[in-house]
Amino acid sequence: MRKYRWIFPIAVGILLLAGVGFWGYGQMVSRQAAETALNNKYNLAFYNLLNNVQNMEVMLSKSLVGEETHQDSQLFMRLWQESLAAQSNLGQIPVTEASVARTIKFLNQLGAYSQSLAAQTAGGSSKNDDQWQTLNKLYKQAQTLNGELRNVESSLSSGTLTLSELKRDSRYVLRRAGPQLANSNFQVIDRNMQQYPTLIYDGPFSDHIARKTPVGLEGSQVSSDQARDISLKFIERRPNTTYIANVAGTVNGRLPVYRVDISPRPAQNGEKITMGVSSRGGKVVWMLNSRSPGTAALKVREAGDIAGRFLEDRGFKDMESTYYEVRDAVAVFNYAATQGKIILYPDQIKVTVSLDNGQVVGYDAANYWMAHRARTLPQPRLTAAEARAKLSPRLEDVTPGRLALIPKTVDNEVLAYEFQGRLDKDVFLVYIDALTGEEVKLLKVIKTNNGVLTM
Amino acid sequence: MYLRRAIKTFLIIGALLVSGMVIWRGGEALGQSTVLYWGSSGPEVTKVQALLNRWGYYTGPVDGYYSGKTFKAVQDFQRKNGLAPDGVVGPNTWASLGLPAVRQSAYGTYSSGASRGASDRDSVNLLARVIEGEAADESYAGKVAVGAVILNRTQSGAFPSSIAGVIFQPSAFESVSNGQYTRPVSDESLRAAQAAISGFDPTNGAIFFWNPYKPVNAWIWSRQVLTQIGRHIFAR
Repeated sequence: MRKYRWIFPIAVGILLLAGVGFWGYGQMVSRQAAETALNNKYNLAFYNLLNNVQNMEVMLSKSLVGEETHQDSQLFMRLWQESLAAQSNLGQIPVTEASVARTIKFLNQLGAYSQSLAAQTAGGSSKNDDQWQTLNKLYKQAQTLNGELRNVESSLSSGTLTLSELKRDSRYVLRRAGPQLANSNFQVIDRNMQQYPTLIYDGPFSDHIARKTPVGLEGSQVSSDQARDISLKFIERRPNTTYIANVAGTVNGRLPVYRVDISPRPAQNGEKITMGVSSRGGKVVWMLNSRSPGTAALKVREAGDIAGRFLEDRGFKDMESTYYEVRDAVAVFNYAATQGKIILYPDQIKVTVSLDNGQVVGYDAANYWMAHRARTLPQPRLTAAEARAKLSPRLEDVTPGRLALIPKTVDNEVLAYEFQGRLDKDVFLVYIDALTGEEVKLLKVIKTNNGVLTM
Repeated sequence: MYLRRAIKTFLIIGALLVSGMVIWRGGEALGQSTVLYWGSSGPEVTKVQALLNRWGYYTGPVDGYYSGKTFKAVQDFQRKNGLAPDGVVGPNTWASLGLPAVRQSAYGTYSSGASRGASDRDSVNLLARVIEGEAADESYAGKVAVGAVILNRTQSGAFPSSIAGVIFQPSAFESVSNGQYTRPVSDESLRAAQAAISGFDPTNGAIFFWNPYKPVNAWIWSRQVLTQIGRHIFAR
């Protein structure tokens, strides 16, 4: 009996060990959860900061072109707000003050300066030449800052850097981002995460504007069988392929549609087509093709011709190509309807063409069917030349100007003259109200290596 | 006799405990120059796994645990890159992975490298990660739909107005709360994110989605259901 006494301490020890292990596991799980939550907070602050700085850059460049004082004053108010928001977001990122002192100073200056300019322009006196020069300088600095942040972002999104790691050796922080990208290894890390130079062009008026009812759709309700036939007529067909369509369900809401799934037999690269066919009037509202595009072989111009033909074949006359963007191996073309010679920006269709074989892999006409109708447009009270005189004298290579209908608020459309002009390397679109001569909208066109341009 | 044995046993158990704790916590305090080997765990391992996965060496889960599969993948990588295939991620392997342990060397070459103009690449990447986390097994249309919900939220008054704000809103997306969204992004998710950003919305303006086969808050069913795509119900 006495011999086995030693078993007790071992049993107690094992129990203890199990207890500690259990406790430790719980600790580990909660620590990981806490770390993830913290990391998400850092990420939020960082991405918001990125957004702020980007907005600041675009607004600063617009301020160089704007002429109208009350437009300017709004712009400066927003700049001031953005710089405040940027400061608060920067403050939440785990970096030492020393490494971001320069950035904070810049944000402070910019905020104070735009505040004073906002007050000045709200009082009716426009900015003078010195102030313009200062703005130009601030714009260049904002560009640099934006570039630096973007470098950090690419390390973040490719997973070579996490923000909680920044905390560990925060001395290096933003200063480190430049050299990291300069490292040639870094460039091959992830093809998927490569730069997508695209256009944020706060438009032209491409955001969804929440209309209440679609005014473009007329006619009676279609049945699901009819919707299936409509979808089969709409697609591009490959020879020797059968297409099987199924109504997969309905989508309620503002623009009710049948969702139709189409599978081609034989399929290419797991190709599957999904389509929305409006239950009223039976129009195809959108189409998505899941095929993964191969390497680009087509020129953008050729793809543009395909997109144009695609629309023509489906009964869209008088559509005009407004701009395009290239993303990886697809090109997205924007078309707007025209009436007379006036371009109607609210009535938009987007056609996505795959650049490997020219197949149309995406089609989005939701905006078109929400807005399109025959409109009675007002007679312009200004001539193009009169409107042009309202532009900033600093703009160069200004186009002669054309009439365009642009959305201002949800149900308010404005007839305006559209001018394209250049300041340094930046291209702008300026819209002057054709009735009142007011500057209603100022857009910046962002061109990139992938040749995004307004057509 | 008995006392001695008991003390000995306690000492052994104690030593085991202490060394266990040390091993456990050891990984996290160190930086990137850590040497990783079979049995290591932590964010550094995740990083290596993610890289090797992208380059096609590693097919297992990116879970931060250095297991046999990771070991093999590292060996393959080392062979391809002319390193000794010991399956240990040391300074040389780190360097070949594009993450040199010595960071100081790069400071001299600092350049501002300002990329001109704005882009929405950051939004596309963020969105693609959440789509991958929430809808990796869904169809292409189902992925675009999840992206569209996030974008619709930015337009809705009831949610933050930036994409990052919506995504990192506390407990808005399960995959973000549990860190799943840092997984490598598939090509399809990336294309879906691009489609959603360029305006596709197969949901007709949904701002909620959920999986009805999982326990969800009963309140959510009071929303107007718009449609179901795959395993997700979309509502506003």
